[in-house]
Amino acid sequence: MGYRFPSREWAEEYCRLLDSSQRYRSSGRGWKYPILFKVADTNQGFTLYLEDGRCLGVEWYDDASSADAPVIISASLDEWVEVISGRINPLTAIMRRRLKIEKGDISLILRYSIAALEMVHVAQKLGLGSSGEGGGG
Amino acid sequence: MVELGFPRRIFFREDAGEALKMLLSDRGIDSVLVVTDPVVSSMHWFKDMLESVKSVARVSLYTGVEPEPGFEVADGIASAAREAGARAIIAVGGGSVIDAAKSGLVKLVNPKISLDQVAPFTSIGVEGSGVLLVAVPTTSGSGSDASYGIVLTRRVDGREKVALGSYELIPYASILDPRLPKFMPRRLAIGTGLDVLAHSLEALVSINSNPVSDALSLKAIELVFRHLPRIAGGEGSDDDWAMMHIAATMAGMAFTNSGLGLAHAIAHPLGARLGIHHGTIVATVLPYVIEYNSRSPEALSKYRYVKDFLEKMLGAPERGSLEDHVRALYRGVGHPVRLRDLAGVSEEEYRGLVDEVAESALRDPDIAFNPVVPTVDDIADILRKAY
Repeated sequence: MGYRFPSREWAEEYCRLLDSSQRYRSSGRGWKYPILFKVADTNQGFTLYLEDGRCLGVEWYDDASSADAPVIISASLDEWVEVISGRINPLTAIMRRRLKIEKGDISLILRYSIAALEMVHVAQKLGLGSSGEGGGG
Repeated sequence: MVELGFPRRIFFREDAGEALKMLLSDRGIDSVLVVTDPVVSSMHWFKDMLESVKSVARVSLYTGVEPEPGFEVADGIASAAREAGARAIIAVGGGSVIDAAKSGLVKLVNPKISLDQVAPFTSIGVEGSGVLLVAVPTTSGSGSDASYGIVLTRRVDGREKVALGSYELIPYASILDPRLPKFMPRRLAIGTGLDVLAHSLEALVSINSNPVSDALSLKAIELVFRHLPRIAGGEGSDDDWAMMHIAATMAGMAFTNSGLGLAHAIAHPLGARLGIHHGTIVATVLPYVIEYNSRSPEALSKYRYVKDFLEKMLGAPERGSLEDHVRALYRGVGHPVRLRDLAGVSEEEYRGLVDEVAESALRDPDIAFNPVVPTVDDIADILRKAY
């Protein structure tokens, strides 16, 4: 049984897996900014404290509408499921505005595209739990 | 679903001065800044073109754009435009001049912005400013007259090429006068022409490609294979020059609406470190990237489509792969197929750069759209093979 996306448990396990990924450690080297991931239609979200290829911690929000971070990426639950399940490349999703960069520098994100792809790869390993239906914290 | 962006108007005619007159009159613009470089500004046709523009608008000049311009050029152009009260910036030159003009426009309408903040979907204040950007390309290569990109060189602790982009920076109008590229030195015509091929082939297999960008890419590839060899051989007709000129713009539209890839991601740091012309370096790396990307079934299918087209429609001899056709084209136009054949690159110097260039390429935004996700070792391997 996997953890459901989105949920506090999913986010914590995701951060742990990301931190143990050697590929993320190498591709995320130099990145310094926490990222807030928001699920637009449920208002839930979590911030990953990412630094130099490490995931140093996670903060879960039952209501992320007033949460802040240097980079904020938001999308509907359906779009997140599309990305995490690998049906759409995250960078294509950004360029087609299916993932919305609410805050932050898209050029910087594009410079870390390999890290972004590795983040999706790690999320795929974790899976979506019970078919990606929204869960609580 | 895709979002597409193009210049509002494209004039393809043998009189840039007349086209500019029409455009400025149509828009009621009576004051312009013309941005160019010292070489173009000394040419007779440029002076004639200015006379045409002067018949409808007050003209100020900024002629100081250097090849591979740095970030500082933006403030100089913005300041000149502000002083002139310019309602249009007209960039007359190659990619460096057009990119410099784009950066100047950003600083003109938004003096406090850092150019590093220029990004797709980020409002930078150009739209709605009322200041038009008009491009008159004098080379047939960069596609900057139809693209949203800017490439500038940052000169801190060495040279780093920085690629930026915003949909607001697609020029309002592109004026394609096919007489102008004929003034290019032959070597530049080949290097810029092969840059068109690299733009088209990378846009074709980008993960963001779509039917519109595919159509533009495929036609531009055809035009390069048809017309560049005659230009390179010194026997280019008016039609050859005209077709290469519009191919460059089509390729610019293709990659703006699709993306580039690994060849450009490698060429930016490698070209900056070696000081070699962008088109020359990206073309030399390209066949090795095609070979690498062929592990993607989607990319391979498109490469095969191009290969079949070249053989069945253009009458090219059958070859094993698309990269073989590209190398044959290089031999036909006298372009090196290996980096070692480029003047000034010693093996020792090159080998010492490989790891650093591979790391930089991995951080280039163009890599985001490559059909295969490379590791730093993959890139280093491509770099070693390309030598």
